Formats: sequence, C-alpha cells, structure tokens
Amino acid sequence: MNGLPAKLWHSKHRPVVAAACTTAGAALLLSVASLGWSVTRLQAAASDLEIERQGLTDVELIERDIASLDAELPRRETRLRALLAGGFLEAADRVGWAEAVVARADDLRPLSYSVAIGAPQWLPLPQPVIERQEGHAADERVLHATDLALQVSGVHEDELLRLIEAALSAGGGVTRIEQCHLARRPDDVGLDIDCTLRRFGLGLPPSNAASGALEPAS
Amino acid sequence: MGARYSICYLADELEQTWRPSPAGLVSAELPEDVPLIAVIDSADETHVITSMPAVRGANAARLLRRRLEREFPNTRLRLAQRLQRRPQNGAIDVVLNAVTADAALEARLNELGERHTLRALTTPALLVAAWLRRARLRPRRLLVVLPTPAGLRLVFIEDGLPSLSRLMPPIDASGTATEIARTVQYLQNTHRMERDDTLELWCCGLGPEQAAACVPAGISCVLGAAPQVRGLPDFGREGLRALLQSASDDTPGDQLLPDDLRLGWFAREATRWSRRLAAATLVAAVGASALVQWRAEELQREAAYVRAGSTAIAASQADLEAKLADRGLRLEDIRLVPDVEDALRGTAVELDEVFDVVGRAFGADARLEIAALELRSSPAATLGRPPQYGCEGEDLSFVPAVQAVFGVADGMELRERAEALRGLRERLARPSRWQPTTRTARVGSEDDLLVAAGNQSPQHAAEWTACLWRGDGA
Repeated sequence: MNGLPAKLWHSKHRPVVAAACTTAGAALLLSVASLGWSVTRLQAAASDLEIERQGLTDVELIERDIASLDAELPRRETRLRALLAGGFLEAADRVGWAEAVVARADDLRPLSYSVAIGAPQWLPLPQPVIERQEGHAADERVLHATDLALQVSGVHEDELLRLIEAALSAGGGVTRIEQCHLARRPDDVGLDIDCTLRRFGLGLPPSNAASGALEPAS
Repeated sequence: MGARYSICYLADELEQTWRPSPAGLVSAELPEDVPLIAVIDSADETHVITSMPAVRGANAARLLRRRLEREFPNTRLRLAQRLQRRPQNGAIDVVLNAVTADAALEARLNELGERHTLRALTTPALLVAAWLRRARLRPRRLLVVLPTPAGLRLVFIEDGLPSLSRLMPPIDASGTATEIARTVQYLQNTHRMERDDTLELWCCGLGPEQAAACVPAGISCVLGAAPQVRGLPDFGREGLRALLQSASDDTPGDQLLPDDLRLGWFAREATRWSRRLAAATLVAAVGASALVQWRAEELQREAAYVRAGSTAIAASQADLEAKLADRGLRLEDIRLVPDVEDALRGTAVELDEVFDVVGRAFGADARLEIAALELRSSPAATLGRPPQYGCEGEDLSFVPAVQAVFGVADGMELRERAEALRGLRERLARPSRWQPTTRTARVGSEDDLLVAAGNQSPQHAAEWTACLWRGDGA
C-alpha cells in the first residue's frame, strides 16, 4: 500500500477518487454544519433558560416581599392612611404651623419667645429604607424637610412638654425634635430653650431643587 | 452472500469468462467495467519454501518484499505466504509464489485492467487454499487432483498452503496415478514428507470410479474427499467450478496482482467507502442533531415553565396593585411610607423620656444640679448648628443622644463630692434603654483633685458633661 494514494491521484482514476473525497468531505461538512447549528440552538436555549432563571430569582424576591406585605397589609394600610391624612405626602403648611406654635407659646406667657420656619430642604431617604427598597421598582421620592426654630425664655418643665407636644402635633407629616438645647436660667425662673423641630414629608424633588448637603436622614 | 465478482479464467490460448447471477456463476461475455477476478492456470507457477527471521510489522513486510525480489526478479506476479508453523530457532517458514507471465499474458492482463476493474489475480492452487481456509480446514499434508480446462493440476497443500503445483496436459486415470506417484516421490526426495507418511488424496471434480483409479499402487496414499461444508460450494463434486464460485462469492484474500495493476479497484472501493462514510456521517450527524435538538427543546420547555412562574408572580403583584388601586392606594406607598416613618421616628428623641432618664440619674441626688441639656436626633455633623456642648473625644454619630451638663452643690467636701459622683456612675450603669458613653461611665473618677487653702474658703466648683445615647437607635 506504499504510496498508493499518490499512485491513485496520478492515475486515470483521479476524477473518481476526487469525487469520492468530495462526497465524503461534503458529507462531513454538512454533518459538522448541522451539528454546529444544533449546538448553537442548544446554547441559545441554555442561555435563555439561564436568563429566565435569573429573572425568576429576581421575581421570587418580589414574591417574598409581596407575601410579607400581604401579611402586614391591614396594619400598613392603617398607618399609611393616618400618614396621608396627616399630610405626609404634601408640603408643610409653614404658615399654619407657625401660627399654631405661636398661639401655644403665647398662652404660656413666657419671658420671651421666637418662632422661625426656614425654607424646605431635600434629603435622601434614610439608609435602612434605601436598603430595603433594593430590587424593587425605584421610587424616586426623597424626603423634604422643614425646620421650625423655637426659642423660649423662662418656661417651666411641664409647660415645655406641653408646648413641644403641641408643636409636634401641629407640624403634620412626621415631625420630631431634631435638636434642642435646654439651660437652667441663672435666676431660676424656669428654663431657656432653643429647639429645632423638623417636619418630614415625601415628595418628588423639583428639577431645580436647591437641597442642602444631602446628608442621609437618620 | 450472493456472487459478487465476475471471473476470467486464463490459460495458454484459452480464456473463459463467467458472470455472477443469483443462481451462481454463468458463462457469459463480460460487459464493460465490472469488478473482475482473474484466474491464471499456468504451467509456469512456482512455489518456494524458505525460512526467514521471525520479525513483525513493517520490517517483516520489507523482508518479504526483498526475498520475493531476490527469488523472482523477473515477474511482478508474486506473493509470499507464511506457513502456520511454530517458529524454530527464531525463524519462520514462508512460501513464495510466483507466476511467470509472458508478453501475451501481460498484454491480456493490461487489457483486462483497462476495460474492467481488476480486483485480484489468483491461481487454482491459491483458490484451493482459500477454499480450505473458508472451510476452516488446515490439512498438514494433502494432495489435490483438480481437472481444469488447461489440463490436470496437482496441488500439494502443506499446513494449509500450496507449496507445489503442477499442470499436466489432459491424461487418463492411469497417467494420473503415475503423475501422482512421481509427485509423491519428489516430495519424499525433497524431504517435504517422510517415506512412511500417508498422504491424503482428494480427487475433486472426478467421479468416484475415476477417483479410485487415480490412486497409485505402491504409494502410501489414502483416497479422501473434500467435505461438504455448509455455505460453501461442493469442492469435492464440482472441482474448479466450486473454487471459482467460492472466489466470486468472497474476497479471495491472498492474490498475485501488484497494486499498480489494481488502481481501478482501489478507486472503486474509495468511491464505495466514501459513500458509506458519507451516509454514516450524515446518519450520525442527524442522530446527534436530533438528540441535541431534543435537549434544546427540553431547555426551551423548562424556560417556558420558568417564564410562566415569573409571569404568575408578576400577575399576583399586579393583582395586589389593582386591589390597592381600588382603595385609592399605591403598592409603592404601602411598601415605602410606613418604613420611612419607622426609620425617622426610630431615631427621634422624646422629651418626656429624656426628662425621666435625667431625673432618675441626676434628680435622685440633690447634691447634683443640672445646668443644661442638649438633645439631638441626628448625628452632630449633620445638624444645622453644632451642639453647644460636646462629649470630648466621644463618637457623636450615635442617635438619639443626650448631653447633660451638671455640677455639684456648693460647699461640698471632696469626699462628699466623690460620693455623689460615684452614686451617679452607679445609677448610669443600671440596665436601661439609655446607655452612657465610655467616658461618661467614668465621670468624676479620674478628675484632678485639688485642695487649696488660704484665707478664702475652698472652692471645689466644677462642671461635667454626661453623654447618653439610646441603645435601640442608630
């Protein structure tokens, strides 16, 4: 069989041998192409499945979240309605708030008082809320905060408690003491206080919102 | 298996052809380009037994070629066959076969090669060996008497292979017996068999009486007969025709034609095998593709199932959103708003609670006087104005937090003052929502103690800051 392929190729049988090689080669190519196409389809199906599985994983997170929300729905709905009624999704009524606090301070007849409400500022949501919102459709709301600076001289402790309580109630939304300094008067006529109450609300920032330094609300 | 190859029998000035048919070989002219086995019945057929080293593989093939070239330099029609005997002293026995082709025979072979596809070239002696191999017989010594169109052939089979082949003109039975006796004598003289060995004799293609008449007297011969083997032509009864039929049915195996004269056959085989390979490849590819496609479809079904699951979950979310929308609420608000409220109120400082804590810690001892309180619900760094009092070196990021500035009543002695501060530390250390910072927990315990005397009353006035923060805040 030494050199037989070369002898065949250089003989008069070359066309037959060439046709045989072409037949085998074409069949091989066709087979490879067919297999290649099938493998490509398999890879596409596998990739598809992987995407769907990933999507399902994401959606299962939503399902768990919805299941837990569903369980808490009655309580959350009650709280939400209370907050909506309290103006949580509305801007602060600064004038009304100032009038209410002034009226209560006036009733106490302290030595002196002042009430000042500044312009609202925009703050990002608290960090724990941001972390819980991950994976859900982004809600673009941010906090808007309005500060009421209250300074009163010569107020007693129990009067102070009633005044602060009234100021927090009149704020609406979610209002809390942000900062408060209380000092005993040298003449012992009650306390001097310098407090900042902050009213929070949820809203969409205006396009030209001039926010303070966006510190995360604690 | 039915007959596949046509047969062309060649002898001196004699040629016969047969074509295969379902009923076996039929004598007929050959059409163009048929696969053909040529059978040469020539008196110039030579067999030589020789020894050669027992080597394997390509070395063995090279050695055989060289030995053939040396033994039969003037003919291309030659073949080496190894006798199936145990090697002795590292050497094996081989039979070298050759047929000397004259110019006419060469020309006839070339013509056959041009017009047809020559598969093999063989001789009646080689056909006898092929028949024995198909019948799974390997006689040690056998003499076959075989009438052929060219005359009468005597073939001596040694360990299954022909080592002597003689062609005689057609003779009668007594002449045959004489020739058999001469052949046996020759074999004995050349020590191919011992004088007391009994030689089996097959007279193939002769009737029983003719066969019996062929047995020579005075020679240790026993008349045998070729067995009837299932699936093989009856060699004993039909003789050469059975051998030709057997060659037509199956590949002859050993043959004399060099590759150069069989190129047409190889080309034909290449075509046949390429078609088989193509078919097998396509079938395998179709099968593999079908398997892969089935797997792909399985994956697609699984993906659809998963997609349905995702869709169902999304639908349940949409249901919930629709339910809430009916009640004038949004799912985002249900999710977001209470959480925001919790986060904001969680760190809010409650004034009444602060008064309660400060009262229990400081108010319990009249010797301590609170001068000021600083409350905050956010880290100090984020406040609009910095705290008036700070806890030096403390972490001001904890919220909510309270700083209490206090002092002790005037006129207290050192020991009484220390006692009052010790009591404060104990009260602050009690379990409570409000925790003292590390420094506050040591308030008063590491102060410089100063006692100064003179003509003025000792002054021990001092002021401290206690920092507390609520443990459940941030």
